[in-house]
Amino acid sequence: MIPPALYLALSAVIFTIGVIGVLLRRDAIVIFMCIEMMLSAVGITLIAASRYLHSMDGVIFVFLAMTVAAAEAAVGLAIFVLLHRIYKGVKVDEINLMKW
Amino acid sequence: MELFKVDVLGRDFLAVAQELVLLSFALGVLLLGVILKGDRRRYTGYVALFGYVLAFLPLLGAIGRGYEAFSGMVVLDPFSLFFKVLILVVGFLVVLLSLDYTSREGIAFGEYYALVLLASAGMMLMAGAAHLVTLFLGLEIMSIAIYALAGIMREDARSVEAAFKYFLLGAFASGFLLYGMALTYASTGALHLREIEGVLAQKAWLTSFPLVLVGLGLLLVGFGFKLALVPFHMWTPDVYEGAPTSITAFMATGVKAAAFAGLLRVFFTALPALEGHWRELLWVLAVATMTLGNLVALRQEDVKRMLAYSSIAHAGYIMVGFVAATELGRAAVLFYLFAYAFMNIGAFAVVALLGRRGAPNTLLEDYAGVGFKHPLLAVAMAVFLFSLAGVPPTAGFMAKFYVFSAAVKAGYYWLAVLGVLNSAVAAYYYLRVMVYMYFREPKEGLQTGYPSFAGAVAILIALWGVFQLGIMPSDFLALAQRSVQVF
Amino acid sequence: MSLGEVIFVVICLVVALGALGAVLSNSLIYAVFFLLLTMGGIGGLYIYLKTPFLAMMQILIYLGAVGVLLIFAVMLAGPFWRRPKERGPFLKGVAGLGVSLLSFILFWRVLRHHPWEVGPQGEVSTSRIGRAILDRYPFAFELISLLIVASILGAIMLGVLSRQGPPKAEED
Repeated sequence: MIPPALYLALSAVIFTIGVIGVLLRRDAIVIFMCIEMMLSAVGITLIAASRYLHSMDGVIFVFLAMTVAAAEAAVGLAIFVLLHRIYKGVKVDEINLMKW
Repeated sequence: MELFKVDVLGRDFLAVAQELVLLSFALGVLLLGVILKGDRRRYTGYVALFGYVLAFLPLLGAIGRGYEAFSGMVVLDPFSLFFKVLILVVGFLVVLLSLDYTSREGIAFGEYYALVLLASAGMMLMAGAAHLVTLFLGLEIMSIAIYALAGIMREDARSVEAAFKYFLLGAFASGFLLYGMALTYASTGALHLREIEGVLAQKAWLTSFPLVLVGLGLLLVGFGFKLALVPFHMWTPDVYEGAPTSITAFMATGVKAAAFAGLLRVFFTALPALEGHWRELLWVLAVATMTLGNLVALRQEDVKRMLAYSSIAHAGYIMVGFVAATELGRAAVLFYLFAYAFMNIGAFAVVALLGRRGAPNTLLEDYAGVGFKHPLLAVAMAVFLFSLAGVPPTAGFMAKFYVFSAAVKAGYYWLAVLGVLNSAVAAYYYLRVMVYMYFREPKEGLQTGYPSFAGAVAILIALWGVFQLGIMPSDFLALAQRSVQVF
Repeated sequence: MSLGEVIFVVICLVVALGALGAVLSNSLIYAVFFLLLTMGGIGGLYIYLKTPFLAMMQILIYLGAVGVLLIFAVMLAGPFWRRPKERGPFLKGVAGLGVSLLSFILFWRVLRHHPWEVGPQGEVSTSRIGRAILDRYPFAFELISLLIVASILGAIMLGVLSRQGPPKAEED
C-alpha cells in the first residue's frame, strides 16, 4: 500500500516549487504557470486525504478548484493580452512588481 | 442518503435572497447594456442602484433568524446579515459614485455594473459562508470580478497594470488559501466550519499537530494578501493607485470587509481551539501592519497612494480588535469596518470628483487651494480625513476608541499603546492634505473638479454616516455586539 | 516492488522533475511543456488514488484548457520581445531543490506516523461523485456557474472589447 504521507509530501513539494517559482521568476507567464502548479498540487493533498478519510468532500473540492483555476486562467489571459498591447511584452520587472 | 434536501422557495432561499436579487440585477444590467446604445448605456448604473436598494428587502424576513441552508453551505445569522448590510451600503455608495465618474472616463457600460453586482454577491457569500467551499468560491467570484474591474480602463496603462498585479497576487493568495483549507481538511476530515470546530474540540492532540498549524499559517497568508496585512501588502499601493477611483473605493472597503468577515468566520467558528497560536501571530502582524502603513504613508506625494497606505494602516487597527478576541473586540471590528466604509468611500468620492478625464489630479500639489475653489468638497474631505485620523466627534474616533479599549480590557496594553502612538503619527499625513487644501496657492492653469450630482449625494450619505456613528455610536455598537454573539 | 509501485515512483519523479523544470527552464515554451508534464503526472496520481473521473478532468482542464491558453499566451508574446532579466540559474536551482527537499522531508517525518483512522476506500466512481454533488454540494455547483459567468464577462470585457479602440476620441 502506498502510504498517504507520500502523497501529502509530494503535494507539498510541488506546492513549494510553485511558490519558489512565483518568488524568483520575473516572467509574467511563468509566474502564472507556477500559480497554476500550486493550485493543482493542492489537489493531490485533497484527494489523498479524501480517500484515506473515507469522505467525498475533498474530491468535490478538487472538482470545484479545477474549475476555479480554469476561470482564473481565462481572466488572466485577457489581462496578459491587454498588457501586451500596452507594453509590447509581458515583463514583470519593468513594471516593478514584487520588489522583495 | 439525504438526496435533494434543498427545499424550493423556502427557508433555504431566504438565506441567499439578497445575493439572488443582486445576481438577477447583474444579468438584467448586462442585457440592458446590450440594448442601450452609446451614451445611454450609463442608465444601466441607475438600474444597478435600484438593485442595491431592492436587495435590502429580504432583510425584513431574515432579521432575527439563524439557521444553515443548502445542506450546511451557507448560514443566515445576525453576523452574516450585518456584513450583508455593510456590503450593500458599500455597493450602493460605490455605484452612486460611479454614475458620473464612469461617463467621464468612458467606461459606463453594462459590464461595469454587472461586475460590481457580481463582486458584491461574492462578498455576501463569503460573509454567509458556513463551509470552506462556499468561502473559497465566494472569494473567487469576488476576486475575478474585481481583477476585471481594476483593468476596465483598457487604454490606461496604469489601470491595466493594476489589474495585472492584482490578478497575479490574488491568484497567488488563492493558492495559499486553498492549500490551507486542504491541510485543515487533511487533518480534521471536515470542511464544514462547525464540524472542524467539533473535531478539534474532540481531539485535543490535534491542536498542536504540525499539519493543523501549517494549515493555519497558510490560511493566514492567504487572508493576509486579501487584507493587505504587512508582509503581504506590496501590491496594495500600485493597485489602488492604478485602478479607477470608484473601484479603488470598492476594493478598500468592500473587499476588506468581506475578507475580514471570512477571517472572523474561519478563526472564531472553526479554529477557536487554536486561539493561543493565532493570537500571537496576529499580534505581530497587527503591529507591523499599522506601523509600516503609517510610516510609508508619511512620504507619499499622491493622495490615492497615501490613502492606499492609510488603508493598510487601518487594517492593522482592525486587527487590534481581532487580537483582543473578546466579544467587545469582535464587535469593535464590525463597528470599525462600517465606520471605515463611510469615511473611506467619502474620501475616494472627493478624490474622484476632483479629477477630470485624462487628468486624475491625485497629486498632493493638485490639492493646493482646493479649499477656496471648491469650498464644499474641501469641507467634506476635511471631515473624512479627520475621521480617518480619529478626531472626535467622527466615526473614526469611536471606532478606534472601541478597538483600543477592547485591547486594554483583554490585557493587551502594549498593543493599545502602539495603536494610539500610530494614530498620532497618522494625523500628520492627513493634516498635510488639509494644509495643502487651505494654506497653499492653487497651481496655475490646473483644472479641477467635475460636477456630479450623484457623487455629491454619495458624499452626503458618507458624511451622515461619519457623524451618525461618531455622535451616537452606542446603538450601533449594541447591534454589532448582537451580531457577534453567533461565535 | 511490484510493477504498479515502480510506475508510481516513476510518476512521482516525473511530477517533481517537471515542476522543477518549469521553474528553472529559461525557455518559455519548454517551461510550458514541463508544466504540462507535471499536470499530466498529477492526473496519473489521481488514477492511483482511484479517482479516474478527476484524472480525466485534470487532463481535460489543465492539459486541455489551461495548457492551450498558456501556449496561446506564449505565442502571443512572440519570440521577439525582450525577456526580463532573470535571476541566476544557480540561485534558482539551489533555492528550488533545497526548499523542495526540505518540505518533502518535513512533511514525510510529520506524517509518516499520522494515525489515519481507516484504510483507503474503494474506487471513487463517477456516480459516487455525482451523488455527492447532488447530496451536499448542489449550491457549490451553482456557485461555480456564477464564477464562470464572472470570468467570461471579465475576459470578454477586457479582451474582446479592447479591439474597438477607445470609446471616445482623446480630449485635451
